[in-house]
Amino acid sequence: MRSFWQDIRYGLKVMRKNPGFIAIAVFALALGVGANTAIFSVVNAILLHPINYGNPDQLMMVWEKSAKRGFGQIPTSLPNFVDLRTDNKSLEDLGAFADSNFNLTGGDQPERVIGVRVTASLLSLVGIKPLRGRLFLSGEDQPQATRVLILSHHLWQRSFGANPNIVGQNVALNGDSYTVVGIMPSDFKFPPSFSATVASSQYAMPNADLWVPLTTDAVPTARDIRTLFMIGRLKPGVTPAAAQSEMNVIASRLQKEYPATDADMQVDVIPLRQQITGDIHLALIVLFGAVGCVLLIACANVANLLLAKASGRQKEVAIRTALGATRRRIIRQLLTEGMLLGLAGGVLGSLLAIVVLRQLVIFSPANVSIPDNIGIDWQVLAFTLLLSLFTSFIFGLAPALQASKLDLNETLKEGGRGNSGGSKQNRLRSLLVITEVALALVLLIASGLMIKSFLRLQNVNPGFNPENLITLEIQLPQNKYSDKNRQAVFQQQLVQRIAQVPGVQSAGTVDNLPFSGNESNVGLTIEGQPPLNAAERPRAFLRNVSPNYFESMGIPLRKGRTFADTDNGNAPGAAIVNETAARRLWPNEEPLGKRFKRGKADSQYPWVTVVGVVGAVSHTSLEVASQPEVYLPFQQNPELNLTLVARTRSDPKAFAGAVRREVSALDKDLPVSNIKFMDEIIGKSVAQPRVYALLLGIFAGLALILASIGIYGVMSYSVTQRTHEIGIRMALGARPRDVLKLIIKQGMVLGIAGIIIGLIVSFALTRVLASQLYGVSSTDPGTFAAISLLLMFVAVIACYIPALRATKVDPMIAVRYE
Amino acid sequence: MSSPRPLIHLSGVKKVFYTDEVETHALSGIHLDINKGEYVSIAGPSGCGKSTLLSILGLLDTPSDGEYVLNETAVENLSLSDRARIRNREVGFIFQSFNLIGDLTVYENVELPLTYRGLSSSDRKRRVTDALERVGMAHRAGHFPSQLSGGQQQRVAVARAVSGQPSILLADEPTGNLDSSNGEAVIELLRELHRGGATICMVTHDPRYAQQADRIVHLFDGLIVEEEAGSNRREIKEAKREVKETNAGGVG
Repeated sequence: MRSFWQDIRYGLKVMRKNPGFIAIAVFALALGVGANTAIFSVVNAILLHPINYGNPDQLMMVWEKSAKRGFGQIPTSLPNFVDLRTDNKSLEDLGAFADSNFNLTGGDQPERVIGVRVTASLLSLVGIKPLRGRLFLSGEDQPQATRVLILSHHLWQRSFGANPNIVGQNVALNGDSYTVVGIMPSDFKFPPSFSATVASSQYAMPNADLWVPLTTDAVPTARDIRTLFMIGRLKPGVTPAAAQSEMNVIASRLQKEYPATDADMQVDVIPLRQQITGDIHLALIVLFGAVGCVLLIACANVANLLLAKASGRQKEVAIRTALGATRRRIIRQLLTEGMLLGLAGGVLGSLLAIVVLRQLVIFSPANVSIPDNIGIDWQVLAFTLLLSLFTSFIFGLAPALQASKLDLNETLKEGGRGNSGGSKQNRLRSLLVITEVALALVLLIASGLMIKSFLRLQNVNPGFNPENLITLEIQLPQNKYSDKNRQAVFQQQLVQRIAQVPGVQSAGTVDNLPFSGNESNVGLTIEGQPPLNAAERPRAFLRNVSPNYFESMGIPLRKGRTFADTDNGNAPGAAIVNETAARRLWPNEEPLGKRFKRGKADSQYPWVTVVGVVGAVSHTSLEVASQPEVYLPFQQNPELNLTLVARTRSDPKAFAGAVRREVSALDKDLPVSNIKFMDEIIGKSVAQPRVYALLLGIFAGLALILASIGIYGVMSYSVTQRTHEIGIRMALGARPRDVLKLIIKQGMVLGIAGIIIGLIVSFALTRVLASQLYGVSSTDPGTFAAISLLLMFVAVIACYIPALRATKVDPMIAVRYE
Repeated sequence: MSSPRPLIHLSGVKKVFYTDEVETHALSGIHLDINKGEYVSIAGPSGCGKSTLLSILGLLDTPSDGEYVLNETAVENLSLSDRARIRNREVGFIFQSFNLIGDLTVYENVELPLTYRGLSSSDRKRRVTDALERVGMAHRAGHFPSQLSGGQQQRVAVARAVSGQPSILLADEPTGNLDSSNGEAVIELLRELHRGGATICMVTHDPRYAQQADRIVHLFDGLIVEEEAGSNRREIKEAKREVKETNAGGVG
């Protein structure tokens, strides 16, 4: 133990004597450790501890799915939910929830909030206690029960000034009075953050502001209208597979009992943890791999620095050995010094990680779902400590072994014969640089692919012009606007008022705005085609729009006409379809004049006639190819939910005030706080690939810098080592450019070897990225070539400075060496 | 009838080193001619300026003042590249510590100055083989310097010096790192080269080896204080030069 402290004391002394070397080594390590700690914190929070619910591994998401329709995960209907809940024996409880936005009044000003309707027992099912008040009681989800709600911590703070007496008081949602019965803790989030491909659209779970009981009068009761998400808790000892088998049996029974609606119904039981981490899992693994590469490169750099140092300390080691130090003792001394370096790098790296994490939380898009409270906890600290010790072992071992293997006799004799020679050490250093370059290339190629993919994605034409578009989502309160006519009048007046605002070019409304995440997918019956059952009917996304919607959005009309004010309740049903729908529903036929209706042939919905064909629009995301869409005139299908879109002649942000004033003038109780701009909405939709590309880009940049420092360091050291040889060469007639060529060639041999190995590894590894790429092959030759050239260029630059120094070697050195 | 121009002509060559505020006169005005085919040794105690003179002769260093004409070319003010080119063509170096490059084989070491001259590989091969045969090291062409004895290494260094067929061979204490028998062998090799027509200028502090030359130039405090004929010349003649007081200075 005493000798250990001696080692530490001596190590600290060595560090103090070499501040420049220590600064470079610690900085390189801190970059590697910091990046790893930051990403590990994210992995720790998202992959290792994604849910703070009680016994989260017992929680299962339960989905319907339809193989025939190609839908992987779809919500269920109320009757199916009731059957699944009642008939299963595997689950302690099965809850259902559906998101529902509300207008909240009673606070400072009306505001639009995200609500989630949950079955009464659902919040206790997930196993979290409220901060104040209570959870819902059984029976509170009955239609006639007193209306109650539970506030999220952030809404409580934001809109109610964290008033502790709010529990028991009444607030108004959509004009109805609700009693606040509880407030949830700040770290409680339900539904948990994840996105799922629901009926072929990407659906991100909402971040709820409040919860209300899901009453049967608030959701459609038809078996074929599927709006409910399900979450259940396994009974102790029951496996997910067992629950799945039981659900399969229930699904088969429902298929038989309700062939009209459930003919192809299947049920999927997915562990909640898997559901949450599913879409981000791969991205995090890749990022973790990337920071691992950065750390390895940093280690290689430090190992190289230590090797260079070690050769300067050969004499010291030889004297220690001559005085009786064993090889083990020497290795331990050198490893202790490495450990001190590693710990210093770890401390600085942790500080760096804190900064990086703050930035990550700020810049992370909603659908990347990095928890706000992410930070450095004891697990992360333990990880960093282990990482620092591990890395110090990795980078310290080679120099320690090398130094301890000295030929004592040769080293203690001052110099040897006057030959300028290479050594095993040089080979090891070269090998380290080749590794660094190869790793950097892999990272650069990965980030190059991601960046190219992101740029491709950004250049996708969404089918409309997102510039200068202001949008406002409006939910008309049921109690005030229950009359369809009133809904239609509101919409008409709204559009007229907004269109008259100076600077507004045109205004329209739509129920589900592109990129809003809201979708309505319906089955259709085409006139003149044989009737099909629900599973076989063609499907399309339905939108209710006002006459000027297409003009306002900049969606081009291909054929026929757009809606007019005359397409109202008194006129025959009209419809506009997009090109994709026209092609799918009436292949090789003229769609204009064709008729179709929602649902089956004898459904309550009216037949509508196609009056126009418009261009296809990316509705869910830029990545998803256009889907069949049908547009119906709002005036023929009024509803409570509508989104205003207005095209302005200049910066739409300047119109927010005017839009608010006009809406409030129409109805002062309507919340107008959620004004959004279309270009920002699209920007957010590509936030995940952007953050992903950005992070990979940053890590690849770090790798490039570290690798170039590595090449520079090795070449610089090599020039110092070869000074005598260079002097001889110059004495023999080598011109400065011969020397320049000699050194750059030596560096480039290392660089090219690294690039070739890196290319081979990249070919094998980038396939992992394939699912994250859009419009770019994972082995895109352009990216591979461009990145290789870039790295080669950087390698030349990194060699150039030492090479230039080599040309300044005084050939007299050859003579003075005597 | 005019005498042939000397291969090397130094006139009033001085070399001053400045370190911090100290001015050191390494050479204080050297006047020296070396004729083609002559074998000159430069002798003198340590610090007298022998190596500095040799460095200037070999274009490794530039004089602070004075005139240096090598093979009819004034070389004191040439660019680095031109000096390298002339060094490569006109000068062959033999160093005390051999200065072979450890990573290169014997063959590659000998070939090195020829590669800087841009000769074709067949031309290089012919010259390298020839040079190695002259020093009796052809059979070791594929070896690395570390596999050779000191004497063998110096023979390789001689081969490297002669491979480019330079105008002059500059040898800086070529026996300094060798035992006496190997030292003798190297001196014998130089004599052989001289008999074959080579011009040699050798720095040595060993009087036995200095005596092997045609002429011995004695250096002291940066000045040539005495020139004598070596045993290689039948007639021994002493020549003392008067040193001008204005040139007087010392190695401080």
